[in-house]
Amino acid sequence: MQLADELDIRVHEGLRFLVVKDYELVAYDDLKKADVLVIEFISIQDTTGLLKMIRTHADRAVYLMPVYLSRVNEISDMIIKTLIDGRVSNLDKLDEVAERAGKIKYLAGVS
Amino acid sequence: MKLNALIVDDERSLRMMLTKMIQKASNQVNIIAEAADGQSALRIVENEKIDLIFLDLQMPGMSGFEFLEAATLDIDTQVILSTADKAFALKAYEYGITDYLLKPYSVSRLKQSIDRAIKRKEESLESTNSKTDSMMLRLLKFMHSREINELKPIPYRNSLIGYHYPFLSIHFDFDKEIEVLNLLQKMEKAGYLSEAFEESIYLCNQCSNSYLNIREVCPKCESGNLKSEDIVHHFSCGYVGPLSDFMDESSPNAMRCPKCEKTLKHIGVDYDKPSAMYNCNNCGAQTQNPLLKSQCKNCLVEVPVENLVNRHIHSYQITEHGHIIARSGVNINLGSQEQRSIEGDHKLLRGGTFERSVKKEILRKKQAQFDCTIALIKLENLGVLVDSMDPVDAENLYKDLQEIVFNDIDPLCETEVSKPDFIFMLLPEKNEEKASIIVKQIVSRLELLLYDNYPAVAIQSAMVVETVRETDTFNGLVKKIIDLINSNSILT
Repeated sequence: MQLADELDIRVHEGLRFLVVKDYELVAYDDLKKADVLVIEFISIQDTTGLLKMIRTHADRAVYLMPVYLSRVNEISDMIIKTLIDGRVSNLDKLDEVAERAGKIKYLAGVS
Repeated sequence: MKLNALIVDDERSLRMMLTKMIQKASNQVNIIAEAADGQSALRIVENEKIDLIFLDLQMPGMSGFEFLEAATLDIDTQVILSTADKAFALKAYEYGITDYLLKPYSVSRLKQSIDRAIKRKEESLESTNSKTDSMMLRLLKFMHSREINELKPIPYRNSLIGYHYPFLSIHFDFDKEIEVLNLLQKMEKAGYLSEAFEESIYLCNQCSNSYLNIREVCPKCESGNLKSEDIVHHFSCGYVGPLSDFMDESSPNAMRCPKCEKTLKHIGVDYDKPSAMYNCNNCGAQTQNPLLKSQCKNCLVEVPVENLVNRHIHSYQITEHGHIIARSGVNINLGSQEQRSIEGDHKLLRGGTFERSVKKEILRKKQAQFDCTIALIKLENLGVLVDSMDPVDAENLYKDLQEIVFNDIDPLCETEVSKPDFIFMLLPEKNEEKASIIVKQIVSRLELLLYDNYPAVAIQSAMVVETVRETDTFNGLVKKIIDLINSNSILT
């Protein structure tokens, strides 16, 4: 595991996981530096807003990016459920989702 | 851009006059059919791609309103109504029409209506075409990358149509969500998705909203302030009256007949409740047949429930073709002209000359007795051959094949080469025997051309000839001959 610059980017199994805590600071250039996005859950409204921004993005690498939620025990909102690829129980255990995220990237055809 | 138009008016002279006025008013209207009554118009809209209908309201048999209720029009089909009676104006807009013309009207007023229809069409095409194509690819790629085989709609209160389609619906503003259904329908027709019925829904005919308040209203004053009361029929004495007539003040839980004074105990044995009486608290009218009206909670328009738009909600499975598109990332271009309908693995130009010709012949068969056949030639391995060729050479080969077919058929006939290996033919005024002779001759020439130029590729031919009947549909007919050629075809 390693940290890069001011962004919280953690590398697992060759994939760069960008961990986002403050939604307003999420920039396109930052997303381009990552393979996988991990969003720390704040509220249904804010999280849905960020997810919609990502999934409707014009760049294929962004809208097809594997996205996981953290700091949430159960996802009750059905719209959020359809827009994420799963949940991360602990930021130190990103390898739990690395294999699946890698497969999504492979099938999406984005490097 | 031209709009394909249909004129519906029972008076021939008025149809002719309107045709001339339309020609003066705009060169963007192509009148492709006329109908003298609602029934004929129904048959035409079933078989033709109509963009604009000039509809007379007062016709014998089926009125303009009755036609609109009976017709299953495309979401893009616009209607300009005309009538001599302005009393219908308000009601006319309940049907979601584009404009309403009060007879007599001038060419300039007609031009305004046509321009409005053209503007609507252009706006609709501009906003949907490029967005539609890229949205299809986005959805396919998302499903493919997540190995999601089924796109299942989620009942959702905050959606315009009442259902949320994962990933897809977020791309549309609330008031444009109906486009989600249109887009999925296009993807299904293009063969990228297959559909399974989930639910039938009713939508506002103005804004496509599903949140509707449907209630009984007074047929006289249209107020919803009604009080209903059951009608009771007492079997033994035959007395029929409102439930309040049977209420006994001395014992509130008992029912006593006001005629014979017997106590009513058991429903189904002593009495029944055959209907209900509605009392209007607004105007005092009484009725057993209140109107059923819907009020849209989005645009607040009130329409009779018969005028609501019925749509089907489906779940969708990604097809193998859809996976191929998602994997290849090829840009989808279904455009306005090049929409393709897929029958099995084969594509025919949707709305193209061949499809239109077949539909016209089916329509003609309903009105007259004559022979007409459809034929299909399959050139097995042609796809393998063209895959190995330079794309320009492959295109030229298809042109050569089409030319051979055109040379052997008379001008009444129509043909379309459906890549990779099918050639469809329509042979009006030919019975199966005559058509078989022509088609066999064409097959021989095609085989000769292919053998002379590509002797190394073994191309095996098959053909079927089938009579066109008035009960046929275009898609049904195409499916039938494809099934036939894949099973019991005549190998040449």
